[in-house]
Amino acid sequence: MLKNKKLFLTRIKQQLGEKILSFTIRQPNETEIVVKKDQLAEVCRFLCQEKEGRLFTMVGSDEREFAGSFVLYYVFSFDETQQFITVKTMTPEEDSTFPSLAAEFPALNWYEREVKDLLGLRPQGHPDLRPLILHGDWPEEIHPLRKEFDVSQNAPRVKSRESFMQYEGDEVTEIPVGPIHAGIIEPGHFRFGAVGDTVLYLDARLFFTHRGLEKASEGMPLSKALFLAERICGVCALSHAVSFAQAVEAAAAVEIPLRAKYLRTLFLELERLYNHIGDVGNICAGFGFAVGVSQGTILREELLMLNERIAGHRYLRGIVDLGGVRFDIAHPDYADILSTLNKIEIGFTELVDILLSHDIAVDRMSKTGILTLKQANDLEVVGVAARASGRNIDIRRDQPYAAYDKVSFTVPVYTEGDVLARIRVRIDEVFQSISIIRQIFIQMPTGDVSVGLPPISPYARGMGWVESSKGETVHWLMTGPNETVERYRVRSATYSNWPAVALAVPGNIVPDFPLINKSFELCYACCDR
Amino acid sequence: MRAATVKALNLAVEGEGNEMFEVIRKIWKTGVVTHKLPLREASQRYRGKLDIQPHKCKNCGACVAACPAGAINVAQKGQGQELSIAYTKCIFCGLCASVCKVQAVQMTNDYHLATKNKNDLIQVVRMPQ
Amino acid sequence: MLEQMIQMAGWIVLQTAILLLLAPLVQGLIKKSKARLQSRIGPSILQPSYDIIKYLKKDAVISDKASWLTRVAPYIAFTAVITAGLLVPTFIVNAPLGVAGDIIMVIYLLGLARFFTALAALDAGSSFGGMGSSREMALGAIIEPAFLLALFTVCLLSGTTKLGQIVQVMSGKEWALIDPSYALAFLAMFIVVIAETGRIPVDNPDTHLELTMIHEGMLLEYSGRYLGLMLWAAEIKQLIMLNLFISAFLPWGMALDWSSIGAGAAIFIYGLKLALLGILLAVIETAYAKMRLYKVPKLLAASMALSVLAVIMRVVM
Repeated sequence: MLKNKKLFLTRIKQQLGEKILSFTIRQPNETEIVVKKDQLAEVCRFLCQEKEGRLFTMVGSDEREFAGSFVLYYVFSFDETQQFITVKTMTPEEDSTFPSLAAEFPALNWYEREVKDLLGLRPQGHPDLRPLILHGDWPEEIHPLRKEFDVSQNAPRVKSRESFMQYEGDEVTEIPVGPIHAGIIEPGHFRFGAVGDTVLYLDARLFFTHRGLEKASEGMPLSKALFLAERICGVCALSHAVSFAQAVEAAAAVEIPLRAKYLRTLFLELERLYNHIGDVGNICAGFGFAVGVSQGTILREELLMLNERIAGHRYLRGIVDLGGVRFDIAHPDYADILSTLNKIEIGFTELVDILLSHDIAVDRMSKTGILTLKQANDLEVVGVAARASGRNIDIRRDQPYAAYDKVSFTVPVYTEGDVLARIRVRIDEVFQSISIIRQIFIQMPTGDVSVGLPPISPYARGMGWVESSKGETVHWLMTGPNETVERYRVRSATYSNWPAVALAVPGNIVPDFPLINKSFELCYACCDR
Repeated sequence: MRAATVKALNLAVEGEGNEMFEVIRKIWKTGVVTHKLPLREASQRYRGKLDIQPHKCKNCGACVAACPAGAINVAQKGQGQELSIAYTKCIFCGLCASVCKVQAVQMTNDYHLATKNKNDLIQVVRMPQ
Repeated sequence: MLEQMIQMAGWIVLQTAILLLLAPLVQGLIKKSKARLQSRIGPSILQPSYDIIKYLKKDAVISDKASWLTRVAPYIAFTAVITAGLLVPTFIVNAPLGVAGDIIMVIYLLGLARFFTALAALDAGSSFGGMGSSREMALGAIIEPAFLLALFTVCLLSGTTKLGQIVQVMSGKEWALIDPSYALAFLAMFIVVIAETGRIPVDNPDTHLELTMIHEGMLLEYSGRYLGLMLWAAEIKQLIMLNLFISAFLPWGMALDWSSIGAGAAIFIYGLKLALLGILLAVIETAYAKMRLYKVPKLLAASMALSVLAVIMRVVM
């Protein structure tokens, strides 16, 4: 493996040759390539197409104070050799543009628009430069992530620059929905172009819950920023906290105790369980199957109460510490978890039997909201949605963290890409999670549950990732002086998957949209930050 | 009677199988699960309101420094000091309790916060001399 | 003569009161049964009545794009539904306005209410109202013939379209009633009842998903007392559908005259029938899921096919 890695990197270095400015192995699993702006497209193309890397995250950062320019980081993951390659390119303040790769790599569409909104760097040649993060009534020349932006200042509101798809002809009806919905749902504005009841095109306007968390974290002590990370989203609280802690631990080059790793794995799986089971139940609301909803809720509530008994918090907040976990659990807790899981397993099996043998339910789910493998690959879709479309990725297996390299599990992959496939992936994963937790209790080592962090040097970088119940969540962190946050970029699974929803909906009927949307189960808060 | 209904429905809606039985059996087995108020007590590890014992406090200020939300404040009041906890800001992380060396601050499992007056959410504790 | 008129007036008042008070109770019973089937305690049976009282006390907020139609439609729908209700027998074999109209009249009064509700939904120009009313009218165009056909079989059996007479003929037949064409018509009518009351698998009355709504979608623009009236009208319509079903298919135990013992027993039996039907609706709603929108016409077509079969059997046999 190690040899492979070295060989892989040397080959890349040789093949890129003159195109790169520098080639540094920063960490055992991360290599940094610095390129000039005009070579960016070629290097990314080489890494993606010839070396089969996949875009992991892309970060724009204002490093004028200590590096003299804006910096863009494109992180690619190479699952086969368990490597990351970061392509770094600089753009000075005078020439605040960078070449857009969105036309070639559709997955970069949002990242580039985000850099444009928040940092004011223009992606040149980007096909769709509408505002993304900051809505159209935010002044075009104010960019919150630039260091000179003062968070206490009030930005004046300007005339909205929002625009949506324009339709010609009388046959198309535009149906605007949201951002305020009839139910208690997070805010999102959807604009359907529909012919009769069939959707022609879907324009999704998100980022209504953009709270500027990344800006708010700037200069915040790392220990406090952990609590900020925990509050990015309600149902992925633990995933975000673990990702952030892993990013800090990577920046500090610290290995956490084995027992802490196992405990993190345990709680991450508990989080996945209550999410997946709740989602399987909730999907039934999409076609009004009330028994499914109530049975799913009952099981989910059992798990939430288990969380409260074990960790003191239903949504698993306040568990993670930088360098480990905050508390240990004892044998009565093991027994509690295992007996609850046995009950859940039986109940969930019955629910699944009922759901999958219900003709109307299966009819509603199959062939609805199909996301093809090509679309999933182009958009770098992650998580459940990716695996339901035949994209075989699971970061727990591909780039193991916590104790995932010590337990065995299979990654369910379906190829249909419809609502039913996404539900089946969740169902299979529930049983895998239960099996993982049982393995954890067999293997659980003794020892400390946390380790103190050494002082972290300023401008150290670290990355943490977690396969949350929605997909991989990536936290990219650069530390500042005195163990504070300099730049923090959260790329949640939903950020990668939202564009895919807009592709899966056209061709379906309007009343099927809630069902399709629920099958992706994307949280808005995670995406909007 | 039930079987007759099921059969009738089978006729009406194309191709339904036996799942009606399954569904009804499952519902029967589950029974009613919701509770009427008042709800039962939260679990022992639940992190709810703080319990502060002023006589134990050594005035070290560790809890004030540790609070990530800035919910704990100390103010000089006449002769002594007053510690105030704002539940409007508190995120119930429990850091204050875990940094307190003398266990003067402890979390309880009391989760009742609902009130009509916001001022009720600020708990003030007078510290002895 | 005067005495007769007073009697008639009293009957009208009585039946109106039954409709007004019983409709929310039936709704409450269905909701309670559904809650139980979802393993919940559920709200009290009186909750829909409380809701209506609450709505009627409230002021209404109406879109400034809406015309007078939005304000008038709830009253028209409500009146039409009440009038239809007075044409359908409840616990006694005849209805107060039984002389004034027949089954066809009932169907078209309900159609009138549907028409005005749909029109008012289009009025404010919101997309959900438009979606709701276009779906309601599309389904209505299939429900109405299915409805007519199902009742037509019963009319053929009894030789009249007057509901009072139908009940008399039917309850007189006792066990001779059970013949194949009647059973088919029974099923056809049951599907129509489900569709007309906006229940699963046709529509989902409890959904919060605007995009899937049919009947609820039309009411999204309403608030306060107008919403109260619309909801009340919908509940009364549901009761009328059940009354129709009882008159045509479960006429046993209805009182033939106003003798106190007969009427008392008839009221009890009527309540029992309503409760059983309500619970049956709740069970069906729980066990089934909502069908795909474009498959609903198939279900109604099945109902129509059953009715046609029933009619043919009747004529041939």
